[in-house]
Amino acid sequence: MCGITACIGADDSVESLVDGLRRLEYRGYDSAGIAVKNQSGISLTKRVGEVSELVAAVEKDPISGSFGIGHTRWATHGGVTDGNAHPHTDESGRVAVVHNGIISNYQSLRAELESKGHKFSSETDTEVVPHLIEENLLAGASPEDAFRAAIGSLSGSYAIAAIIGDEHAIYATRSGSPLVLGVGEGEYYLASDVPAFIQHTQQVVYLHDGDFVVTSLDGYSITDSAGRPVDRPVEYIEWDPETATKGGYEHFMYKEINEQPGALRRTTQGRLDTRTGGAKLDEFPPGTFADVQQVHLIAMGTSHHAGMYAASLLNARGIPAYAFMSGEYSVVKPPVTPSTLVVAVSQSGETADTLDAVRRARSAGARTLAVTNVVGSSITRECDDELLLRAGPEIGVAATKTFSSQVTALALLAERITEDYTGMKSTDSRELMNALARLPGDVQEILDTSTAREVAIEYEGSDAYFFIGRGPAHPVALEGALKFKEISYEHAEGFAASELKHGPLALVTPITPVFAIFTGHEDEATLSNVKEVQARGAPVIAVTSDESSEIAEFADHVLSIPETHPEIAGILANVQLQLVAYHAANLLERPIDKPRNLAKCVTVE
Amino acid sequence: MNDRIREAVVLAAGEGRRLRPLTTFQPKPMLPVANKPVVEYVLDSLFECGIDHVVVVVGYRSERIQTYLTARYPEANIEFVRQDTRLGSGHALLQAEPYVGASFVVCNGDNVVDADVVSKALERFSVTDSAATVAVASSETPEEYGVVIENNGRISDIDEHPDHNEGYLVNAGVYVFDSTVFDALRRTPSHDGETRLPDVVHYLDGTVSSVIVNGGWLDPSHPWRLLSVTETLLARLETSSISDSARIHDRAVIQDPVVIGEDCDVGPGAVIGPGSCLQNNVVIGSNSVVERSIISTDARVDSTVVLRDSVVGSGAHLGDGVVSPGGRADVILEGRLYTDRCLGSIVGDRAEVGANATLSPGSRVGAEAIVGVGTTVHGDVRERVEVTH
Repeated sequence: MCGITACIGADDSVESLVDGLRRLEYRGYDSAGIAVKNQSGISLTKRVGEVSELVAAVEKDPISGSFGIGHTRWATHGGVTDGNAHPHTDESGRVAVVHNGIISNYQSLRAELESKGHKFSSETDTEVVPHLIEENLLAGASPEDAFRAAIGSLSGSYAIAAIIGDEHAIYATRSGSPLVLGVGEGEYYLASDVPAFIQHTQQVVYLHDGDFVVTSLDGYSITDSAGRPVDRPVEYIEWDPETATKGGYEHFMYKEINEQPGALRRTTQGRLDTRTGGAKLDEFPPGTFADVQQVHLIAMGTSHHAGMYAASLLNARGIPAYAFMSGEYSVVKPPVTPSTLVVAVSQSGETADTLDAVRRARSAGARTLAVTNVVGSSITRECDDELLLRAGPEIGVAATKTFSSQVTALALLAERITEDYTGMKSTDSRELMNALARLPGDVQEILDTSTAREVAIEYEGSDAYFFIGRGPAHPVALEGALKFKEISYEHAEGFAASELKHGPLALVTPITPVFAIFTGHEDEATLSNVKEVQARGAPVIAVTSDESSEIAEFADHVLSIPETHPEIAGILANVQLQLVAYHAANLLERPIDKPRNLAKCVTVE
Repeated sequence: MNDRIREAVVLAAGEGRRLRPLTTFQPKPMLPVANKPVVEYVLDSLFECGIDHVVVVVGYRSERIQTYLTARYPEANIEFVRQDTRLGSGHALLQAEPYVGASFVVCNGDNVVDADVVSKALERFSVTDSAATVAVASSETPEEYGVVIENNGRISDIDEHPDHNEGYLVNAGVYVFDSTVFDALRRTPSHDGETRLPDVVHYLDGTVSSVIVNGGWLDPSHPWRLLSVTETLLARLETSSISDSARIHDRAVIQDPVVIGEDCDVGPGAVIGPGSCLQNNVVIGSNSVVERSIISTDARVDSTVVLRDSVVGSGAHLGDGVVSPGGRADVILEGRLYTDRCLGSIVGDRAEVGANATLSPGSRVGAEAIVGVGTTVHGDVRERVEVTH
């Protein structure tokens, strides 16, 4: 995925664009570039590397212009080179384009354009767009018509912004990739995500697939593909740019780990009935899920682990529930009926694989429900219903607070579904709701007292790091390993504790520490797995609330969690594992907020 | 609104040892008075006076301040700088040097300061040709603060450890400086390993002006002051402030003025008396009586508990029938004896106090300590220990 920005009417378009790109860097940081319009035409600067490289280039060799477009790239087609960096232009330099997404028919378009004499200077799919626009201009079309005609010949997913010829305007459209419009006073912005411009305006228009936008100094117009005006509401976004600053922390990830008590308070606020049990979800009054016979949870990455966690909660309550990676969902094609509730979990609400899976589920007649952190994101428009996390913006590529909030929100949803499915609250609903009410304080206790840093120091330089757990702690083991590998670049793997002796045990040696998660449920079985790895000499780090037991006796280290309901303990254990991963990566001086090859949300399949 | 000085430094790196065990996991600036951390009053006052760039010097338990302030003021320009070693308030201010310009306000982050104090200091600074302005206030306990020796609005000395109380004006911890203060601080000798900010008045090139600001400055310096400062702030409210998300049972009694935060749950027959604050997600069980006490976030108070003049930390749990009767006591803090202070008990974060335990006046239960069922506590229970009778 990539991030795009555009602005017109700002005092200094170069600064606005670069600043916007900096805030979109979580979407990609292989290369970055901007194109601005001035009297002499379009000035272009682009560089391989992070946005800071672009800033240095612009400082060394200043460009200026009254409006322009910008891009930060996460390579999909074509290597990471200056030439493949966006913006792309046609040969004449009259048209400049930035694009997020994938143009699936670019090879045939390129062949056709080349046969007409167009010379391509990059390996990207994107470059066909400026040439197509130019082709239409040469055929006598107006800039807007040329833009529309070019877009009309594209297949795939895209959000595109362009500046064309001498027009004081920006042309943009989206289909399958995010694009939002910021409406300021006499200034207008376009971007892949709100943080890019929210320091300039909090008035936002969420564009839909197929919308065309033309912005100029005089205002903006939104039309459909046939040119008919469409009405999109201007929404006011409450959170602000400075929420996307590090607040004195060295890394967003550590800031966000520390924000978890507050995030969880917001996730549960007003949603718990601690007196009689049960979840109070205004969005889903009792009876909402009366027709549901089975639940599919679809998601990728960390969100998938939250989905697995929720599936185990639902199964434990007698409700058929399955967690799928959304990227597999369209391939495996599990049977879906109108009584299937498909719960799509995506922090950003823009994950391409998950959006695609939602569309498949809908076309098969399923009911769809989005669990997301981003108001107005694509997934909320694709799904029938939505449940918001309210965790606040998450910038670190490694998801932390949103996992905690996802599991919490899903546990509430599971409670609601259970009541509708079985006609009664789950047996220990009251205890569960009280455990959720105590969760923010319990997480704070871990933050106050964790010894994760000492553990990270002790085992620095190990061959590999393994994580085991059973039941809801299995996805926590997977998540612990994912967090560890994605930011430390060390080999880490998670397993169901029962899986060890069926293969993975062959990997266990005295220099492969094993993190074992105990939730207070089936702990004895996990303890016997711990003894298996210990017999192979592996150090064991137990994550448990039971410090005085046999577990602590066997473990080399204990990462302590407050005593709580066994179905909630996994959320707490995960916080300890977040801290281990963070400190391990920090000791290795990894770029924690921007791990290599990764982007915050993946908007390409 | 002042139209010249727009920057401020807030000194918030210290622990507040006299307030242990409430400061085991959070620094003094984060202690809640009337449900707002002390430092929030400081920032609100600075913003009200037109300050738009605040540098907060953090140290002890810095995560708590950083996380709170960035969430509380998402739109404000707040920077954090670290003071990792405890080398005094002067050294703390030096850490902010790269972040501020020509003139700026300096406030202690652990005192409640009204906007009026800041604006008077700014005004005084702008009309005098002095290198610094210090806000001074009269105090009944001058020995606890630096006594200010001033003459016609000019300060000649701030005596941090006065033997005799010449006049009763003390340093209120609000200053306006120009950037020459940094060189002066480098010239200021340290005492007992600490460079103290008030000492800088002797090393500034230029006069130091003072402005008297009686009222508008409250220091929750000791546990009993935390309660009295809270009482003072509650008295300013016309009515109680009860969050919409709090659930108060129909048969509970709320006596003004109190503050009750989000998601609190007050059971039937409970009495929340004047001067009390329940922070967020606090549970008060049936028939419990809470008077002139502070109950912090996530604390759980079971049934028929009596709490007077007491402070309960975050996540602490008081079992059925716990009694902290309140009243007056002699208290030793940091090696010093204070006699006849109005103080019930102080219960640290996540401490567990068993059913029917009695917490005598002036007792303190350490963070994460466990007090057994029926135990009577006198004096101090240390952090993370278990006591039974």
